Amino acid sequence: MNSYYILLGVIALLVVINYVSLFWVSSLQKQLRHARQKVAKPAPSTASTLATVSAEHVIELQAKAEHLMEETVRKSIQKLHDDLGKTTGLINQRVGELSDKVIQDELTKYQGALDEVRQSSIDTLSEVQQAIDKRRGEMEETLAAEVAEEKKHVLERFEQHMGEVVSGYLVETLGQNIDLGAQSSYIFDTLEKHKDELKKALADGP
Amino acid sequence: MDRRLPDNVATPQQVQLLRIEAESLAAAIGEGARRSKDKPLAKVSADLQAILGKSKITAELLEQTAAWLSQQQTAPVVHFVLPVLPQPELRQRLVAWLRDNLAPNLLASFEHNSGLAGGFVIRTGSVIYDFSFRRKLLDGAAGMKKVMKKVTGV
Repeated sequence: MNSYYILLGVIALLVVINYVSLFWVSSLQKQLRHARQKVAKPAPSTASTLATVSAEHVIELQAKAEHLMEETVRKSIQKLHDDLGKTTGLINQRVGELSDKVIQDELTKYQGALDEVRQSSIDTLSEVQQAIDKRRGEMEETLAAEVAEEKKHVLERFEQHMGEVVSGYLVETLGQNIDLGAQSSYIFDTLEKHKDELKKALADGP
Repeated sequence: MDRRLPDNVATPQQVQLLRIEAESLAAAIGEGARRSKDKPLAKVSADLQAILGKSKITAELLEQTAAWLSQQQTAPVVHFVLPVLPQPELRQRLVAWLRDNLAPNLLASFEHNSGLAGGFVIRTGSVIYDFSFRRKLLDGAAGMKKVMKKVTGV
């Protein structure tokens, strides 16, 4: 920012110099016109003095003065023009350098900020990826455990129902042709085997 | 009176019928005695005859028998559940076994449940013994799993 202020100050100084130069040139031109008028219309009080100078000599002096004035003005303008050109070139060069420096600095800062953002994004993404991997691992473990548990329950239910299904099938099949006579030995053997329990149950009452 | 019901008389309903028969006969004998001593007795059922034995049938004997039968009606009842209703011969054998081995005055009832597949269920009081094939199959589910694993290899 200081470079901008310096640049603005230099430009303002040059503008002031230009105005001063123009003002000075303008004043010189005014003096020249006054001198011409005095030469063209000499005052009556000085007629005796001018009388000693010939008219040709006056015209010659006037031409010389005019030439000298023009030469001086021309040189001054040329010098001013050269100085202005040099100054403008320097200013342009300086402005270019400053612009390049400012742009380079800004680009460097921008590049740095971009690097920071990119690094931050990479770090964040890495953390997110790690969190996702961790969560996925946990979910896989949980899912595997749940699947194993469910499989176990399904197998248990299947085995339990399988027993009932097979029993039901056998009962339905055997229930069609039942011969109690053939089972009588089993019935009496069972009664004999559990006689003591039956006696106890009868003794205990209802 | 040391006697026992015939083995073909098993249920409380049968005992009740015999009691009613005995009471009716006793009443009839009393009525007949008032009208005519020569009037023949009404026919006695074989079951009641088996209870009365060879004693001379009198109104007093019948009244005593009716009272005894009334007591027998309150005797413990053993309930059998079988896959089919048993034939009379098997019923008598079962009742005889109960009275020979558990208590001489036991009564019995018989029901059927084809879902048992075989064997029987016996209930006395609040105790139930399930000796049916169905129960054995259900209790043997673990063994069935082993068999299935051997067969299927799973």
